[in-house]
Amino acid sequence: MNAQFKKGVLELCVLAQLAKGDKYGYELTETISEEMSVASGTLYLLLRRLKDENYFETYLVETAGGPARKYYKLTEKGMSYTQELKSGWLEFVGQVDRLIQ
Amino acid sequence: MNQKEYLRALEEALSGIDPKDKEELMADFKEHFDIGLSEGQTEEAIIAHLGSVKDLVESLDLKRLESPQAYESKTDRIYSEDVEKVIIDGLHADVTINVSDDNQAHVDYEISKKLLGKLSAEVTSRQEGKTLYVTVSSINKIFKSSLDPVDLHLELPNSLKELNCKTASGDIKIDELNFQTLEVHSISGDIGLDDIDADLILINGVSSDVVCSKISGQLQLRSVSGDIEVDAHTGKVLSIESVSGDIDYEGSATDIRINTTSGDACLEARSIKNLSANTISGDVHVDLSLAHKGLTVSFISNSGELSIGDEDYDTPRHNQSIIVGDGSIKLNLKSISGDFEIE
Repeated sequence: MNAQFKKGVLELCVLAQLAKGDKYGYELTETISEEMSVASGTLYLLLRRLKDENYFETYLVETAGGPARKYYKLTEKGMSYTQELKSGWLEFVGQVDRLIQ
Repeated sequence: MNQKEYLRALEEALSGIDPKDKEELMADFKEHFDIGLSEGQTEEAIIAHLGSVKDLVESLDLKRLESPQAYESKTDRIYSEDVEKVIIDGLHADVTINVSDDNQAHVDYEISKKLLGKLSAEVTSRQEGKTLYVTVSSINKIFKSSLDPVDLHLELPNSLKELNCKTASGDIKIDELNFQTLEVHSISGDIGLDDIDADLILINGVSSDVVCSKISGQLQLRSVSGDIEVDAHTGKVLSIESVSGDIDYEGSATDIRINTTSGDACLEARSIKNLSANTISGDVHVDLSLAHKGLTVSFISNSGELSIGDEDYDTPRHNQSIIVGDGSIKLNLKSISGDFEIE
């Protein structure tokens, strides 16, 4: 798949997962890699960039005995951006679908 | 490779980027290792899953990462004394245009780029014969949201046959230039013209606010919801159409045509000879310094009222003609509920 295209889709997947509820980085990489083959490292770079755009905030949660976890939480802006991406994607998939049927 | 080596290689590879970004990324990777290990994974398995540092770094645009301001600035310069016509498609770019001091055309632009990620906008220009085309377009974008901001600045010869500038959301500002024809279009960008001399000026905006100051020539303005303000216009012919935007005009036009739905219009036009004003619910106020002037007024309205100086006229059932003095100035007024005030 075209690398740039894959990146855009990955962005949508990450945001859509966070739209379902706050997640910490490791959990997010696990969920994504259950479905697609992607180097988890690139996800952290992606998260950093999306945070730069103020699509989400982060907060730390201490766990008893274990390492602290940085949770990602979508902002209002992130929510509406996710919706926008999602409808763009669904429209695109619909078009492709009609063409290949 | 173990965790320590991996993190060291990563830190090295990120040495050029903003220290704060690097610190955060290093903490993210460290946390990933800590949680993976606490869940019983081996360092090797975690590293295999993360991907090699080399691949990671290649997925970034390192040149941009290394620039501390994290923006990209490009300059393009075009020299030609033969440019007579300029066509600009500015998309989301803010466009400023003014006069060049060497009678040649110059194009400069700056694209501001956020950290991490590919550039999403580009500016191209080309010349065909005596026509210069400048185009802003989106690249590397599957989804056309959040394009990188672009500032586009043109310096043009003092006198051109034609300038056509359009944008979607970018603001347009044009100063101190002469044209035969000037055409400006924008959807949501604000439009500002200052000190412009042209035979014909066409301005089209949707939600754009339009401000024109010290402009001369035949003027045609259209707006949907943006407000229109014209100040110190010298020229004979004026035509303004607006849906809900308000209109504020001051100038020397003799022939004026105003169409508005709900926007109010305020005209200070002391040289007026002919006015045709159509409004649905917007009110129209005309200051033509009434004293010592004669009017022929044709007035038709559903529920709107008319006042001329101190005189009030009831809503006419049929087209009503009113003659004041020598009747030399023709006013053609139509409304549904909008009021007219002439003074």
